[in-house]
Amino acid sequence: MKLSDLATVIRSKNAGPFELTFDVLFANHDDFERVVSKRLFIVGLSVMVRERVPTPVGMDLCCRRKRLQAYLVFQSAM
Amino acid sequence: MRDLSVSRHVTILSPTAILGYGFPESSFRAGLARHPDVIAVDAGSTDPGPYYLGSGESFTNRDAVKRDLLLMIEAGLDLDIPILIGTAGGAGAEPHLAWCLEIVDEVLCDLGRCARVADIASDQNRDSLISALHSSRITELGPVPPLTQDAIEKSSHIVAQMGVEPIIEALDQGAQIIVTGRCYDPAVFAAVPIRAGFSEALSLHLGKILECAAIAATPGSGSDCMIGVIDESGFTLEALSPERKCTVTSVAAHTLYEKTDPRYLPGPGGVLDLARCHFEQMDERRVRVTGTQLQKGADYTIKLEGAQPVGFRTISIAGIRAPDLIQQLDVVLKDVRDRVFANFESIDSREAQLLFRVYGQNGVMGDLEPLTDQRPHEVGLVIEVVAKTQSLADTVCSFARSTLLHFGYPGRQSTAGNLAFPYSPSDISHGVVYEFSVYHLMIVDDPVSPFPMRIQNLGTVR
Repeated sequence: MKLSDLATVIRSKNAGPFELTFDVLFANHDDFERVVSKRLFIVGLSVMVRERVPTPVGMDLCCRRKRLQAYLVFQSAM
Repeated sequence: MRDLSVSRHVTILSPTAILGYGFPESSFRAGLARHPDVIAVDAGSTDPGPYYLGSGESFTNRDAVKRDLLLMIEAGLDLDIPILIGTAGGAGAEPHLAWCLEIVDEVLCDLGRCARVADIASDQNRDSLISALHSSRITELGPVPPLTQDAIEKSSHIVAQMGVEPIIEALDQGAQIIVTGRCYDPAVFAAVPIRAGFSEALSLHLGKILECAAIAATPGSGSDCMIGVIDESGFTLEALSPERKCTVTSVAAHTLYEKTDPRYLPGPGGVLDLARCHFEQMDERRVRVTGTQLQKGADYTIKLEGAQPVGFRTISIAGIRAPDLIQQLDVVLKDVRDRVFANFESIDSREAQLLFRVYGQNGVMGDLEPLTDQRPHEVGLVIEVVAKTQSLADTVCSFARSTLLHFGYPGRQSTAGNLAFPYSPSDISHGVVYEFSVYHLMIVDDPVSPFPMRIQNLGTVR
């Protein structure tokens, strides 16, 4: 089964100039638990750091190294 | 204006996600029929990149901004409710604020109206910033290097995000239209309900959703209206176009939108805590939110944003369809790079940076692209050069383009050009390149004084 079969929202979005977020949302608690409990995927919200790379003339928004900054699982009282 | 301190609810109309992105007039009229207490719009974002803050230009179109403002200002004055515009001109620095104020004045003149207009600046004085830096009042925000005096001195504009306090001050002084410099996105939506005594936590959470208007509905749109009604225990959201609706998923998803932490949403002076947040489907089209909390810090911190020029850019766009070239493109591009810098020995490679963006291969994700062993049947190539001067960027880009055009790679059967150019001229001088040089938090003594306000009558009668 693919993650897209279970999740209702899958998206990536920058959070400010230097961070990239991935959000995966589920419609019900069972689907959420199914993925989270088995650690089938990095669920909830994870962050990939867009590091500023110091270069002679600078470069805006350059991805050089990937690093997982945070792995967070969030359950709202939906 | 209506006295909201005795009211049991406040209704906030958000016409569009960004001032200038437009909205259907039918949705806007449906919103006006709900008797809103304020029309608020966010006009800014750092998403379009550092260029706009650095250069002082707006990323939105002037005619499009004027069209949106014309409808909003006319309706706001007719209903005698405030019109609040956050982060004028996209980035909120002095030239952006002046640009937006000029449009507001023009709209008022076109309407034959006069209004009391407040503008609130957000530019931060360099000397004060340097002194704050040396007294350890500035810290990094996320994965950025520590701020330096050099970055403060070289940045063309440095702004700070204001909270609701300066906006409330302007409302207290009777402003009908408030145009702010850089502003925490939710603040223009939260200011009126907070001033009327409603929960700061709920007001800011409502603002966080309304600032993107109908993006929080399904199907989402950045160019359609949304309305929010806050009362003493929660708030209710509704999209104003009949084709969209708010669902628990669409509203919850938007609460986490562009946030690194899904539970804590930090802003000026405090952090929203969503742990006890409850989303409830009221009917097919409306969602109610309750339980949001606000943790206030001991210090009041504001976010600083700055951009500095780092060089000049030239690009050239070309397509490649030859399978034998695509097969060995990475090696060929490395050879081209070596040939370019070998040809201009006088050019210090630190003065010019040559970059190939290979769309169809990894142009979108770059080094993060997981599919590395697949060869497309065609690629779109962007040759990009950033250099110390425009002339040097033009030279290096031109030479890289001509070298690749006739490059004799191993096994090549063609004896003609390797590149298909969609445009003539093929090279585009792109001007100054900026980077975000300041993205830090600063502790301030009070939330109002860093943001000087001015009130004046604009429009037909001065």
